[in-house]
Amino acid sequence: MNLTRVRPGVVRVERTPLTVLDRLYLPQVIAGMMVTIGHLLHNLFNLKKLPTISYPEVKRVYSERFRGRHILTTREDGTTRCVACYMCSTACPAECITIEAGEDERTREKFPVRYDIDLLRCIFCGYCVDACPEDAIYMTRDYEMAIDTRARSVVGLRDLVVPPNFPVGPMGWRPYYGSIEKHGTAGGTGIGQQLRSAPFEDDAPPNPDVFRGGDAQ
Amino acid sequence: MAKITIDGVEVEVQEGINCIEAAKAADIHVPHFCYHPSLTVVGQCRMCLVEIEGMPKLQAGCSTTVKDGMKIHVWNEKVDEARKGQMEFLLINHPLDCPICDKAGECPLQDYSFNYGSVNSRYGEFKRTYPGMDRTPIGPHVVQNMNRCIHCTRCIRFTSEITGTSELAFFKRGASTEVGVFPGTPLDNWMSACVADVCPTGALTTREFRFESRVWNLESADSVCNGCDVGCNIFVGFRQGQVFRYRPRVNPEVNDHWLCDFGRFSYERYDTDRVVVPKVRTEDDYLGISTWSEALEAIANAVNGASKTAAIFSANMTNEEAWLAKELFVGKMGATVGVMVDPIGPIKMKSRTEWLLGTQAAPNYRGVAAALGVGSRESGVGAVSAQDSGSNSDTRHPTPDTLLDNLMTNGAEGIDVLFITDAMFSERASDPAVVANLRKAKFLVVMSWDANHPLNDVADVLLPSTIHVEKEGTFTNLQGRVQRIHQAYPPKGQAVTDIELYRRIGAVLYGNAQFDHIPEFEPAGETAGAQA
Repeated sequence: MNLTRVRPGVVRVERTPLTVLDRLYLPQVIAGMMVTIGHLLHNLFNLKKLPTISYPEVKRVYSERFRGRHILTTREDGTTRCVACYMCSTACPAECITIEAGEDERTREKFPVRYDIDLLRCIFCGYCVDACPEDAIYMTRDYEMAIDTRARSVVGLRDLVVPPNFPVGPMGWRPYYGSIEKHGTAGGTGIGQQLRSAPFEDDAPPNPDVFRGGDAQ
Repeated sequence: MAKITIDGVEVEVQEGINCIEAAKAADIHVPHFCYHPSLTVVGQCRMCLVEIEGMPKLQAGCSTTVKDGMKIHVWNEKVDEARKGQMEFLLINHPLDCPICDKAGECPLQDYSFNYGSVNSRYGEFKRTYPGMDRTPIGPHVVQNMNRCIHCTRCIRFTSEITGTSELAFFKRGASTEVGVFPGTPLDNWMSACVADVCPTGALTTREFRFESRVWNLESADSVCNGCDVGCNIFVGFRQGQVFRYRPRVNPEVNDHWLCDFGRFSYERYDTDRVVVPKVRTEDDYLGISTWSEALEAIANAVNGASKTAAIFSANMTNEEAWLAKELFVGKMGATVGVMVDPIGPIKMKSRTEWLLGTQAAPNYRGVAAALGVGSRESGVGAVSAQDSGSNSDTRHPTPDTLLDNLMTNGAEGIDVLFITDAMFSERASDPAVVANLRKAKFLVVMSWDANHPLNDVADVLLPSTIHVEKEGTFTNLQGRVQRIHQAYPPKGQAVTDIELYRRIGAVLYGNAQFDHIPEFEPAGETAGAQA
């Protein structure tokens, strides 16, 4: 292609005329098919090195810190850990979290009566998890979030809250990556609260995010 | 005048003021919790410690008055160390439950902890708590969380010095000192929610705003309360076209740091369905949605064939609107107009120097009456009868407007077109008998923002109007002080600001560019002080 700079910001492109072979199209079609057939033959003789997987039956193993669909964790008594402090929605760069706070006269001072995440708006950055002061929101490694209508992209409390003692071991991204110990009550009046060691001080498993050679990914 | 040096900055201040106020002249902020410009000095929190050359120990900035030649250090190692220690003491028993605390984001304790405190806590023991006192409703508007209290006594001093009701007091001694009310006397005075403003922590919060929104999600606009004619300066906290709270804006001449409960929660009246489109009554007596041009055309047809028109002004109008509406209805249309205001209260409000008594239920009766030209019958003004001049007590109680009284009690027969510029011009307008009487006019034009107002249903033309946070303008308060209100968010739906509305009516009747020029109403001594 012949390019001429006409003036700053404007480039004229001279069109190359097609040759006779090009105009026939057939030689180029055959050349394309050769590539396809080449790959087919290569894959037939190297079946074990196939890069594709049969997805619904076979699933790829992702990183332990994969940032997938969110969950809201619960305390032992079955209440959500979330205290509707709006830190996640404040930190959220996509503004996909909508919270409404409520008050329970007897038990909890503040809790979410509405906690909606628009999964289509969410960019899965994990800032909400980092911002949460109560370890209430984690990200699972669940990436299957196919929906058939847009309205279903908004998930609420009934979709997000998990039962107490939900195994958070195989979770995805969560703060203080490592052993999870949570003492005390939300609201932090100090009763029964123990000083928590600084993040990353306890025996965290080796960082799985580090690239470990060829077969990762 | 005293010449003093604060952190190397030489300033000249009035002798006898304290170091905190003097440092403000040098643009230096001395952190403080218990000191409040409108309350007495107690020197309780020890946060305002400053070093004064020649004095062996650090001095409390709030209780130390300045003297000529004084050298004050607000920022040096010694003071910083003391402040850090003081912050540590204050935070020992503070629950640090900022995530669920409504004060977070505008909390002096939080801010100072960031600015002056230490990052790490050395305290490993159990915090002192007040079991069962973390959500005490101590009054109709105030909820107390004793755990968050830092014992600055601002609230106690407020009830004893400003309202004089003394509901709050310290109980018990030492580490278990608690702020509380006496049995049987809740914190129930007309300014009770102000204690939530003066509280430097989240120990006292208002029940109405509790958990409604985090404060950093709110936007703020300077405005004036329209609960009564005192005209307290406020910040409107709003988000996405909804008012969440009013907050007092400091103006020592009017409301100082305070706001009465009635005014503070008067935004709740806006939490209703709004008129968002014009409506016109069709031939088969159905009030249907229309376009602006259809509505204006209906008005023009009615006015052009009318021999006697009248307009009811509202004391909720701004000065600019009143001027424009007078030009339109009186100057061009030759209508008889009247304005009235409901009595209220009296609501007491304390400025820095005097008590003000709000007796009118609308913010701008005086301004509208002045725009109509009080008593000047030559200009076609009907029976406006407010003696606004002079300082006799009659200014507080305007005599009833005979035109409006006649319209509302005897009916509006004989009037061809009746304009009601604000359906909320009086509480009596909701009375079915009054509505029926006003309906007796041949053609009734109602401008209204409340979709549930009974006047809407009988109107021939219903135009969407705006509330005071949706428009710019000025109000004249009982002192004759002109104060500006600012638009927080644009009018809803197809509604336009009232000035634009009058201009549209004028344009369709008398051609364009008739009412472009509006005289300036200069606000007097506008202060935009922040919450101290």
